[in-house]
Amino acid sequence: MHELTIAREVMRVLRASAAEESLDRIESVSLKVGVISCLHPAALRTAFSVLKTDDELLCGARLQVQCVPVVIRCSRCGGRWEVDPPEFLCPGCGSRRVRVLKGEEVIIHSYRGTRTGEEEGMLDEDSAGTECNAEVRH
Amino acid sequence: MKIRLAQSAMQKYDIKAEQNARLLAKSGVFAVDVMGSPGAGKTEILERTVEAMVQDMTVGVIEGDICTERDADRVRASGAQAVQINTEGACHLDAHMVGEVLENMTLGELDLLFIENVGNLICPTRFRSGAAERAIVLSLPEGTDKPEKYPSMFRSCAVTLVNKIDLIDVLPVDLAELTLEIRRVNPHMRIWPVCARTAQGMEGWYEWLREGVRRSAAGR
Repeated sequence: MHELTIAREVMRVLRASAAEESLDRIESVSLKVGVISCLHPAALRTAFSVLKTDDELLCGARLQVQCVPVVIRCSRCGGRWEVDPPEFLCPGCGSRRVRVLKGEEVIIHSYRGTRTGEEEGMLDEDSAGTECNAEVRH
Repeated sequence: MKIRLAQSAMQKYDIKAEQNARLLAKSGVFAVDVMGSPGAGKTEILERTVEAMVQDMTVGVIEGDICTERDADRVRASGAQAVQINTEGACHLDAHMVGEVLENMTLGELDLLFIENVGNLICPTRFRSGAAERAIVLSLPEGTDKPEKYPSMFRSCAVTLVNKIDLIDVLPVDLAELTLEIRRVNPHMRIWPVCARTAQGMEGWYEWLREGVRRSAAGR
C-alpha cells in the first residue's frame, strides 16, 4: 500500500502550490501514472479519497488518473516504440537492449482550484483524458 | 483557475536518494540494495557475504523490516555493523528513512554497505535509497515466472542471486529457463545461482562486490 504514501505526497505538493496561488478550494487533480510505475490507480484513488475527507482544501477534489503507456528507445537500432509490458523487446529489430523513456513516472500534471467567491466550471479538454482503470504491471 | 504543475510525485524521494548517493560516494562506501520476496533468503545471503567480506573490509548493513530486530541481530553476529529500521507497517524503505540512518553511521569506517529492504517485489521498486547498485534475491521455490510478473523490479536490479540452488533436484524448476526469463526482462542482469546456507556459488558475487568496493574507494 505505498499508494497511501504517494497520495499523501500529492496532497502535500498541492497544499504548498495552493498556498502560493492563494487558492482555498481544489476541485480536481490530474495525475499521469506510468503503467510500470508500480502504482495501482484504484488504490491511489481510494487512498486519496480517505485522506481528503477532513481536509478543507481538498475534500471536494476529484482525482483523475491518466495512464501513461511504456515507451522504449532501442539501444541497437535507435527506434522509439510503445510496448506492452512485460515485453521489453524492440518491435523494429528484436533487440532486448532497450531504455524505458516513459511508463515509470508519477506526475502531478495539473489541478483546478478556486478562491473564495469564485466559481469554476468543469475541466477543460486537455486534462480530461481517458480515465485509467487498466490493470497495472509491477 | 487551472494550475499546471508537471511535478513528479516522487520528487521528494528522488532528491533525498541523490543526496544519499552523494554522501555515500564522498565517503567511498559501495552501497548495494538487497531486495526480494519474504523468505527468499536475503538475510542468509547477507550473513554469508558479511562473513566472507569482513576478512578484509568493514561492512555495514541497514535492515528494513516492519518490526523486530531479528535481521540486524543475525548480520551483527556475522560481523557487520548493523542498524535496524522498523517501518511500522510501511511496505518499503524510502530514502528519508535510509538518510536518517546514514547521518548516524560512521561512514568513513565503512567500505561496503548493504541496505536490505522489506520483503516485497513491488513497493521498493520505485523508492530508490541512494545505493549505487541493486541486487535481487530470488529463491528457486518461487519458480520461473517472477521476472515477467514483476518486470519493473527485475529491470531496476543489476544482479540476481538465485538462492536455494541445493533444491534443484527436488523442485520442478529449470535453471536455464529461469535464466532466460530473467534476461527477457533485463538482458544486462548478472545471475549467480547460489546456496546461502552452504555459501555454494557465492564467489562471483563476492568478486563483483570487491570490484565495486575498489571502484568506490578510488572515487572518494
